[in-house]
Amino acid sequence: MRRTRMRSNIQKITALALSLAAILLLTSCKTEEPQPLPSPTPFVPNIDAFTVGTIDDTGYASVFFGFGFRLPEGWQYYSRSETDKLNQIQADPADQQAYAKENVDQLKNAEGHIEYFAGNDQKGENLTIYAVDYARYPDEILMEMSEMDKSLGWLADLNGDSKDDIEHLSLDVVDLFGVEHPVYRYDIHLEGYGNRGAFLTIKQGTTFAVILINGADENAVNAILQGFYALNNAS
Amino acid sequence: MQTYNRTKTVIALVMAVFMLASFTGCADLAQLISPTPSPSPTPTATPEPLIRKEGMPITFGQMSGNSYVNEYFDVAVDLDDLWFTEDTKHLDEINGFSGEVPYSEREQAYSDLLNNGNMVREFYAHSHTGLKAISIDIYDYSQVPDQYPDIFMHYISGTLKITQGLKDQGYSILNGVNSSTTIAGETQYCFYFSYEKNGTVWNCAYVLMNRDKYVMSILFSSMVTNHVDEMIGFFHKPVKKAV
Repeated sequence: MRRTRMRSNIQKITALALSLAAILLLTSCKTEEPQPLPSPTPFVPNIDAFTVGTIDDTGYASVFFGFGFRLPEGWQYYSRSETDKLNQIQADPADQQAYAKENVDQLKNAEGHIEYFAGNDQKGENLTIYAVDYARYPDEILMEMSEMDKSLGWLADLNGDSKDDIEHLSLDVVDLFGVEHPVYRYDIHLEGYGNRGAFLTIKQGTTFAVILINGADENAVNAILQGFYALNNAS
Repeated sequence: MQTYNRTKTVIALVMAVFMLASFTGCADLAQLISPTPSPSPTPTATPEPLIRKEGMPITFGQMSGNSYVNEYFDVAVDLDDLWFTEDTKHLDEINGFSGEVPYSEREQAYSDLLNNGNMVREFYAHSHTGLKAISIDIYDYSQVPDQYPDIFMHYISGTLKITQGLKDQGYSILNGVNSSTTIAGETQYCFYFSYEKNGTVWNCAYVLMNRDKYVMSILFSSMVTNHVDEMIGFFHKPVKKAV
């Protein structure tokens, strides 16, 4: 039976981790106008429907994002109660309505939200899934590529020491859940991070799952990617 | 029991850096081959547009959700919900208007753009991943400054502008093939090309359709893997409405 643990300095970390950057709010005046043809309404996941993923010994599963991750053998993970502390969630999960609302509000306010963290320190492997939402910026064009590119700054300097931590960054694609997704792959030079990294995002409506993977080598990274699987997220 | 000593650094990575980044796809190439729209034209009503007195009167496409229909060029495309299409407000802005043109004035405003030798961006869509993009532009090629005797030479000129423009922007041209493709049931000129910068490869196709003096320029872009022909296959003839 795996157990989860949380370090005492997590709260301090969280303060840094959940800091927000101001985003230029693009404003516009939209005029109502007649539509020339009736508009079909495709299913678009709404941030109000966001629910946190389930976390247990088998891994992670998010109905909202429509995917799950099988926990590799020998990995440890943060439980949901621990990620709630990281996310500074106050509501009791037993109060489902209040708990869901607080998580949704956090995302709506563009606060950082850690969905999942698991890894194997001995192997230098880990996986982090964040969630970020852009519903409050309706004019912003949302693509997985552009979300990845926004993050290149901190990806290049993971520990914030103003020195490059990665090199040989290249764009690749990975087939996940039957769809080709862009993924940045790179060499990483930080103790405990293995040697190779991968970074990708999964878009659902205005919300992104931001996924960071570290492994000993390319094979390890690919093995972690193979741990993802599709869930049916309704329509 | 292992603990996450390195979690501090890992979690400190959080996605707080929301800098806007630009996505460079083939859609930008339209500027290399088409007239540049005048900045912020004023959409004023013209009682009788000149364009309607010459040849077949052009009409503009209509969008509905992720579908686009252009009866004039006899093409339509339907994209699934993994695609995002620019709405009319953004298209108006791309076309140089300072804001959204009222629906009742759009046909006129866009006709005026063509009459003034400008390009009209009719459609722009990208996949939710950002790996694939499609753009459609329309212009009056009789007003393009570098005149050629026929549409084929105009197309060749466009391919040369694309390759030169990419080189000027520091991209390496990996290949460029003048060919043809079947799009919406018609065989059309098609320039397949790919280019690269910093290890990232864009695979593209530039397709021209011609009606009278008007040209529909369609650009397809696919990053890393090549899905250009798949995107061309999305186009079909408009479904005729029952009378």
